[in-house]
Amino acid sequence: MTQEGSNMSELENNINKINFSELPADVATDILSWIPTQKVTIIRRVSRAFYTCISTQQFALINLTRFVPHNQRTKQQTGEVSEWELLLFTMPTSFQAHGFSIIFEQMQEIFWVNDPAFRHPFFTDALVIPAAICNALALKHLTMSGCDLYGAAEVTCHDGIVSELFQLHNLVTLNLSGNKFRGGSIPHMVGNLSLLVVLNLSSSQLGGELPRELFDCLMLESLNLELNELVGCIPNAIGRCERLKSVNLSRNGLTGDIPVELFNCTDLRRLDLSSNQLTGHIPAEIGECKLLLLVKLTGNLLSGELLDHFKNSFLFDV
Amino acid sequence: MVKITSSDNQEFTIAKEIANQSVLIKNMLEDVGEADDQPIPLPNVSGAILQKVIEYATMHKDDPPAAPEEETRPKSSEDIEERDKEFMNVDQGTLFEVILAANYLDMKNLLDLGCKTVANMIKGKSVEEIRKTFNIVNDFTPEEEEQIRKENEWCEDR
Repeated sequence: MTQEGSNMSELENNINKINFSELPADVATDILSWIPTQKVTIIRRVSRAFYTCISTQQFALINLTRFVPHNQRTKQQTGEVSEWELLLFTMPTSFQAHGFSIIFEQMQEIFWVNDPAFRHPFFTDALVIPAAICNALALKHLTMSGCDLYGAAEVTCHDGIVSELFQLHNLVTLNLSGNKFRGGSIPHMVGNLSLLVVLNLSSSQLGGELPRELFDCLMLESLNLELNELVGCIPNAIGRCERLKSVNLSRNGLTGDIPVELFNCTDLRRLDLSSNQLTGHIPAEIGECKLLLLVKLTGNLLSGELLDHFKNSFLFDV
Repeated sequence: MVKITSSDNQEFTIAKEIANQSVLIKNMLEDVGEADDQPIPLPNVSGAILQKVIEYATMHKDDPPAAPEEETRPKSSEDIEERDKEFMNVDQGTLFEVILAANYLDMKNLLDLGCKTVANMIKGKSVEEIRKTFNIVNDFTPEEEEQIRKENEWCEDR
């Protein structure tokens, strides 16, 4: 900071000499890349030259490589949102692609839950999952629960959840419950997640029909879509997910029959289809699911008898 | 010894190990060979600045070769040796000219030092102060600036 002490005559002197704006672009990039990420995005406002320089992908790469702490890249998260994770969701788009790939190079988990003990200033506003999340390819567990996440309308106007999320084909857990996707539907691309075991999109204001591609996720063991605005039938394809242990589709607007195929899933332990508008008979095949412990079908227009099929269940309810 | 001349025709005679700190001169020397004692012209650098650059190269002539960059160590622009800080205690115009010379002569350490020094001048300042310090004209329309201010909301005004 020694230059700061310059007196007036020195300042005047400088006017005739070369100034910042005349530096070659790569030198300007070199200089600005030394400014910490959070600060450097602010100073984009200085001039067009600054803005252009700081907004390139190359700049983001140099800057983030320099400032993302190394331990950040390997740290496993435990319910706490790190500063860098938050920056990612709020930083300019030009930083996000490299940001996600650098920060999540080795990190396999995002785990955010809206714990009352945890209030971050950024959560006062809605967060949007950026399309650049598709760069976090190593991600296995993504939990952002109750974070007031909105669908990014400008990226996917029909899908409440940004479709790029479904390029993360290593995902095992996806929990976006308790968010506000404002009637957006579950994207068909959900079928890309072939390793998915746990899907929880409950209480998230999701609408539309259940995409049949959802049941291309053959590893699925737990499916929770409770309390949304889903309509239409339960696809027969559900029977393909033979590993399903828990299915909760309660409190939606689902119609039609309970598909017989559902009871191919003989590992089922919990089945909650209550508070929909399901009609028809309860299929006798439900008796094939010998492990069922909890069956809840109340609040529908179903007919038939459950009792005969269940000797071991301690809770069932028509 | 190696002879070099500046844009304003000042001639400097320097030791080879000092000259070799500039990749540009090093390559030139390799191209022309030992025998030639013609001075190397450096039309992009003035005598005053070249003097400064030579001063730096002389100061660092006994430095060990740069260690490979450590991944784990946090890098910071504050990481400047005291003697380098002192060396860079010059007016802004000179600072930029030294940076340009280092860029032209391909002297990585000096370029790095210059860039860090300027970065440190930017770091603690507001947008307005940066414009003032570097004589930068705000060439955004008010609407554009407002737009960027909005984009920046997440990190400003906190």
